[in-house]
Formats: sequence, structure tokens, C-alpha cells
Amino acid sequence: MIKGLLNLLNRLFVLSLFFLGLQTAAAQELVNCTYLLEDAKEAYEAGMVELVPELLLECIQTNGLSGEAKKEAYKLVINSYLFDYMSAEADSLMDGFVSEFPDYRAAGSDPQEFVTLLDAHLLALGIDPTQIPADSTETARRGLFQKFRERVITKGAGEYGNTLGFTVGVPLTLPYTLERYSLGDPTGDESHFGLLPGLMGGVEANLILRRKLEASFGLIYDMSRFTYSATPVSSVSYRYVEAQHQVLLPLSLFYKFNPENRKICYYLRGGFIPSYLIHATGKGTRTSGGSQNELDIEATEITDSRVNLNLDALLGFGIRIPLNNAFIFTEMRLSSRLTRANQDGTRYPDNDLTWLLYHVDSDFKINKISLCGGVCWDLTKE
Amino acid sequence: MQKMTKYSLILMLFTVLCVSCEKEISEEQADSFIKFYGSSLMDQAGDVEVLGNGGYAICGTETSEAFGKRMVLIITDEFGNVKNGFPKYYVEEGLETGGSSLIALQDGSGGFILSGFVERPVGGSQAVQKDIFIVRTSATGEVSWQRSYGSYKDEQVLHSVKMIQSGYLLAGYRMSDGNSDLMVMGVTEGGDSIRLGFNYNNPYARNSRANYLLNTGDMYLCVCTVDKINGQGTSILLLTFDDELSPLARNLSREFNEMGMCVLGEDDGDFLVLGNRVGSGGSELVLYGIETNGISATNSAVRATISEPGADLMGERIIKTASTGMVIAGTRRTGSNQEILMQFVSSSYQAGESVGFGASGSQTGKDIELTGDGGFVVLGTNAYGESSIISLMKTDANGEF
Repeated sequence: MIKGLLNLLNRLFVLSLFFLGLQTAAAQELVNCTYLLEDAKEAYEAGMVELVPELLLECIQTNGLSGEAKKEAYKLVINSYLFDYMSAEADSLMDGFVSEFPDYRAAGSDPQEFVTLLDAHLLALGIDPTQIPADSTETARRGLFQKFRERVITKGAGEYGNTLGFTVGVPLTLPYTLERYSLGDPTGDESHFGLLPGLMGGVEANLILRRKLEASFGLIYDMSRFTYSATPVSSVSYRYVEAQHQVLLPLSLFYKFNPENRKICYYLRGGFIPSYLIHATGKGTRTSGGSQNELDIEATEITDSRVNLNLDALLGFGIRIPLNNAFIFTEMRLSSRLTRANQDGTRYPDNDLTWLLYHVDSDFKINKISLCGGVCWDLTKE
Repeated sequence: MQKMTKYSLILMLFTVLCVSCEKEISEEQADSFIKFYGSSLMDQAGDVEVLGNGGYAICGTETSEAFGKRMVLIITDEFGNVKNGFPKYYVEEGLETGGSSLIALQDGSGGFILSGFVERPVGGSQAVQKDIFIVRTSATGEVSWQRSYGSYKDEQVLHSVKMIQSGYLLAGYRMSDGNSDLMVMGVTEGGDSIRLGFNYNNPYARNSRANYLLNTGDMYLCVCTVDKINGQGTSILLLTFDDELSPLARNLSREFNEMGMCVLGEDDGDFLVLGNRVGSGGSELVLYGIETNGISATNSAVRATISEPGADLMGERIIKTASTGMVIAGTRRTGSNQEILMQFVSSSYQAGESVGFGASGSQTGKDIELTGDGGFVVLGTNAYGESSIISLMKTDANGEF
């Protein structure tokens, strides 16, 4: 009971110090970072770790501290984060610590979690954590620091290396007309394309180029669908549905805005999608004389009427959410066909689509909006 | 800020890539096309003419729920698209009408003569009686005059031509008690009927009809189908006559069951008659060479027969191609399906390539014309179930799109 009371008084004392410290910091800005470090130490020892970052972060970021004091401040805040299970924040701050103190090696007094995180960061930078720097003079330290600055960092600690995974998604195909054709008068034919959801799935490999840049290669099966409605003759209208089965080989570059973030990483993707059309079918329903007379045309092979080898431009925006040794992602992709989708010489095929549905291909290209997601596993993590 | 600008630029470029302007109709659309006209109820193609401006004139029968059958004139541009102000419909006092033949007048007026039928109700019954119905129009389809001619029998025009001097000559059939016989008659420029000196009066007439007229400039040839004695099938009959309208007749078929469909002028005094020969193996095309002297057909011989295993070939029209050959338009029937047929024939009467157009349903080739670019327009009727619509195809010189 008495012990508890003493503990409470101790906390109140530290808390009062904290508020006093805050006021002081606000009044004298960075002049008192040394005092704040002392306060933070006391708070840390009193178990009030949540106060430590608030006391010291500004001092660290604005260089209110230097040398051993700054090193100690870093360690206090990182340890506080680790104590509070705020691993993403600890990870991020360790980046700064290692970049400023690349010759620091874990000491026996450092908590194990701190040691593990420090070693991971050093390893990510190609530094052996067990090797004590031979020359720790100021000149050598500066040389190492310079080397550190000049390194092409491809992967921060806790970040992912080359990954391999799968993706699934729903493409929405929206073709657009280049030149209108009709079995009636194209200028009076109120025709338009419509969206239908499709299905896509495949594998994707991501190769780290730089810390914020990845190259990505994929092999994806894509089943896209769209509709085309037209009124070629005043009393006759129809709705045509096309399904295209393709193999896509997306080649793209990722730009990651915040690769160090362990909670959510935003990225932009750009590239090209060469694709091969395996199979395409068309079907539809013709309505004449109002809705009283409907004629269904079954799925008809139209692969010969389509361009088989295609190229699309790709733009995507997505997020990655890290898991253990993997990340899940979700992405919105926009792709636009650079080549025309239909063939000229087979515009009027001898099939039911022409002679019963009254459909003819306009010249068109294909745009797609795809919502996809998946999982990728880090190939470099053990 | 710089990054924002960069990403905005990328997004703008991509948007431009995704959104492009739609092109106007290109000239290539006139090179080949398929077009449908009508209401898709019970429409029937009649005749097509190529106009001097590159467009096309079509006559036929269009059916609507509100008006029933109506004779229709459709004028299109070179793309096959219906021109403003068309289609035009022609009826007589609200009676049902239909069109089967068209003359594009070459008198500088740009007008047309349409001929077909008008159906008059027979008093006190559900039955109707068909009379001949002729309309003369201006280039814009306005009626200059319209006439109907008939008797207590059913009359129907199948083909018409401009007469050598003046007026118009009509060929078709007259039907009585379910039996049809030849009918050829003339009308003046003003639409009055000209008394015809031809009276075939075949007592065995069942399916006889005058199918096609050719004006050579100094005589007419009329290709007919006539019934043989005692109902032993039909023969091809060629009538030759001038403005006197006193025809000479030459029977081309012998033991065969044949129907006369069309005639084509070759060299001076030589003609080629297209017929359909029906035998146990189905229907095939037959071409007769005709030599004439004056208005008399002096000699005739079979030049070619064209058949296809498992299919019935039925010719409707034959024209010369832009090169030295000929092409026949008609219908190929396989099982229950029918498709439009283009059968090429060389100048030595050898069967060349044949091209079919159609799928499920029933396509019937009705007329063909040579276009200015050496291609063809083929008029037909596209039918499925109880509905049909008029179709027009424009192909290249090989019959391809």
C-alpha cells in the first residue's frame, strides 16, 4: 500500500516535471533539450514511456542535441517505442539513428529488442553488426558517414526485398469508339458501349531497383467483358455482349512514396501490358417491335475479328500493408489500349451476329479500370 | 510541389491517351458495307439501281403494324445510309401496296418509276385482289402521278424497263384461280396503259410468269417461265419483240424442268439467258446462249450449268463484271438455311468463285448491280421466323468486304 502510494507520488512528480519541461521547451525552444533529456530519462525509468517521444522527438529532429546526448535521446525514444509495441515508429527512427551513428554497435546494456532492430538496420545497409569499426577517429567516422550517405539504398531495415506473389482482380472494360459503323445509319444509330465486370488472376514478381523503385513482371489471365447497345434500324435494337480471354504480361515500375512505413505504403505504378488474345466470343439479344419480339443469339466465336497481339499503357495506384515476411496489396489500375481492338478485314463475318443480331464492329479501342489485390512474399527474408 | 506537378502531368497524359475524339465516317465505309432497311416485320426487297451520284435507289415493300404493307422508295448515299427525306411510301387510298421493280429515269429529271401491286378488298369477304400499281416520282420522291391497273384477276409486276420510244414496259404475271400466266403490258409516259398485242393464253398455265425484260435499244427480250403441256414442269421461254409488241417466242428448255430468270446482252445479237434447272439432285443454274437476227432468236444452246453438291442454287439476276466475266446473284439453299449467292462466271462460261452471305435464317438474293468502283451492290431479303427486312450489301470486285 505504502509502496503503491510512493509510486504514485513518484509519477506525479515526474508528470509535474514533464509539464514544467513542456512549458520550458515552449518558452525557450531548444535551449533546454539537455534538461528534457534528463526528464525523459526519469520518465523512462518511472515506466512512463509514452512521455518520452513527446519530450525528445523535437530535440532529435531539430538537432537540439548532439553527440552522446543525441545518441542517448535516440536510444531512449526507440526503446520507448519498442516498449509500447510501436514497431513501425521504432523502425523509422532507427533509420535516422543508424544514418547519424553508423559506427554504433549494440552494447550489453541495450535491450534485446533494440539490439535486434539495430542489427537488422545495419545488415540492411551491408554493415556487419559484429564488426567493431577499426578506426573510430573523427575522420574515419566522417568517412563512414559519407559512405553511408552515398550508398544506393535499395532496401531499408524491415522493408521488403524482391517479392513474388499472386494477384486477383475485377477488370471493368470500357471500350471507346474511334469510328462508328452500323448496319443502319451510323449517324443516327444511338450506339454506346457499356461496362461489365470481368475476372483476372495471375502471378507477379517485384524486383527491387532502388529503395523507392521496383520493377514488376506479371503473368495474368484476364477475362474481360463489355456490352454494346445499338439501334441500327428504327424498330430494331440490340444488346451485344463480348467476352475476351487474354494472357497479359504486365511490365511496370513501382514508385513507393514511403517504403519505410511499416503500416501502409503508398505506391504508383506505370508501365506497359503486352497481351495476347486467346479467345473472344460475342452474343446478344435483338429486340424488334418494342419488347414483344426478342431473339437471342448464342455465343459466337469472333477471335478472327479481333487483334490478337495488343499493347496497353498502364497506370496504377495502390497500397501495401506489411505482414510477416509478406505484404498484401490492393491497387486501382487504369490501362489504355495503344492498338485498335478490331480487325478491318473481318468486319462483316458470315455469322448470326451480323445477319440476325444486326451487329457490326465499330473501330474501337479498349480502356480498363481494374481493382485488384493480392499477396506477395519476400524472397529475401528468412 | 515538383512531385505533384510531375504526377499531375503523368495523369494528364494518361487521360489524353484514354480519351480520344471519334472520327467522322471515313470514305472507306463506302467501299464495302451491309445495310438493313425497313421495320423487320414482313419487308421484301424489290429492285436496286446505282445512281449517278454514287448513291443507290431501292424499292420494295415495307410492313408496319400501323399501316400494313407499303411500297417504299429508299434513296441512299454512297455509304448506303438513307438520305434525308427518305424512305418514301406510296399507297392508294389507304390500301396496302408493295414494290417490286424500279426504273431510275435517265431523262434528266432524276425521277423514278416504281411498280408493284395494290391490294383491294373483295367486297363481302376477307380476300384481297391484287392490281398493278405504278408510281412516277421526282428525284426527291414526290409523286408525279400514280396509277393502278387490273381486272378481276390478280396481277403482279416483276420487272420493268423504259420503252424504246416512250413509256414503260412491265412484265409479271396474272393469276386466276391459283394459276398464273404471263403478263406483259406497257404504259405511256403519262401513265396510261398501252394495249399489248401479246396473248399467250397457255391452257396449261399454272406457274407461268414473265420475269425479266431487257431493252437492247431496238428490241426487247422477255425471259419467262411457262408451264409445259399437261403439267410436266416448266420451261424457259424467251419472247422477242419491238415497240409493236408482237412477240416471237422461243422455248429454250427441252426435257428439263427450268425457270427463266434473267437475260444479259453479250456481243452484237448474242444474249445469255439465266435459268434455274430443277432436277432430282436439287436446283442448279443454267446459262443459255442466244443468237438473234432482227427480233428473231435464231439459235440457242446451253453454255453452262453450275451446281453444288448438297445445295440448291437459284439464280435471280446476271450482270457483267468490270472485267470480262459475269456474276450471278441469287440464293443458295442448304437444308433449311438460305444465303445470298454471288456466283462468278468467266467469259468462257466456266464457273468461278462463289461467295455466300448469311448465317442462320433465310437470306434471299434479289438483285445485283455493278458499282462505279468495279464492285457490286446486292439487294436481298433477310428473314428469320416470321420477320424479314431489306438488306443491301456493297462488296468489292471479288464479292468480298
